Amino acid sequence: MISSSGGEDAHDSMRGRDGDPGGGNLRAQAKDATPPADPSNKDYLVNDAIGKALQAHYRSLADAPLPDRLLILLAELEAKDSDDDR
Amino acid sequence: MTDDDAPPKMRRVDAQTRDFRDGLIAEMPSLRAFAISLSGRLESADDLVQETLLKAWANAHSYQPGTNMRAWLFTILRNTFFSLRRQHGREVQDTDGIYSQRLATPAAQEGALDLADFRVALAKLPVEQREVLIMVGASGLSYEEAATVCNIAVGTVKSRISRARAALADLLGISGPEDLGAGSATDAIVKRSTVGEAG
Repeated sequence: MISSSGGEDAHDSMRGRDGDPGGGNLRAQAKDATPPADPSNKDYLVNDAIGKALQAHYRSLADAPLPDRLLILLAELEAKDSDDDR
Repeated sequence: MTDDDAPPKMRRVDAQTRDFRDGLIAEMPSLRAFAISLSGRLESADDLVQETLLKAWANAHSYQPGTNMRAWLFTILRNTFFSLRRQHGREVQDTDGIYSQRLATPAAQEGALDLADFRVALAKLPVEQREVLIMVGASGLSYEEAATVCNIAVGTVKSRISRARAALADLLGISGPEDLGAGSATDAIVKRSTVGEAG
């Protein structure tokens, strides 16, 4: 299934580079931009919560079914290229 | 003529086309999520994705296999979005997050409440902050890739993300851990929503 494979892929990316489901990508890269990643740090906790909400938002959008017109478009482009090759 | 009988060059081109097509299909959910996060309006987002796919297909030769296709596609989509925005103003942008709420797949019961508030706050961010926050914080791009997509310095990406997080915390009324309930903004927002409904 096109939509499900794409959705899984989106999930993979959203787990972050270290597989952390909780905004790890943002935190892992933010070492030199934000205070040290101390779990007791106030900013860390707030940013962690925002990171999780952000990923939940994005994941829910990526999981939405793709409209047929986008899938049809790709099929048409591919068919057109095949015709041009002949 | 079967594929095995085809001249090597033709087989290679077909395989590249197939790989490219498969790559586009795999990236479509993420591309659409980014488009919706940028524009908010469902029709505008799907138009953006459609335009991006057309441009990507027409410029497939400029994509370097093995590089990050998502970043490449985001660049095309983003440029298209800002080009349309310059032509049509903010009518291509949702400002209240309502459209993304309608489109999104149902989340877990407790998540549905907090996401509604979060989306409203996210939609209020300047698009320049929102786009880098989505790219780095949700779509999996690195700071460097986001900087390349937006054609800005890495330091600018970092400062925009920092400002975006501060603005979101402010909009959501989270000033510190004491506002996070059991330890997450989700819990805090769910709690606020529940209290609001009860009152």
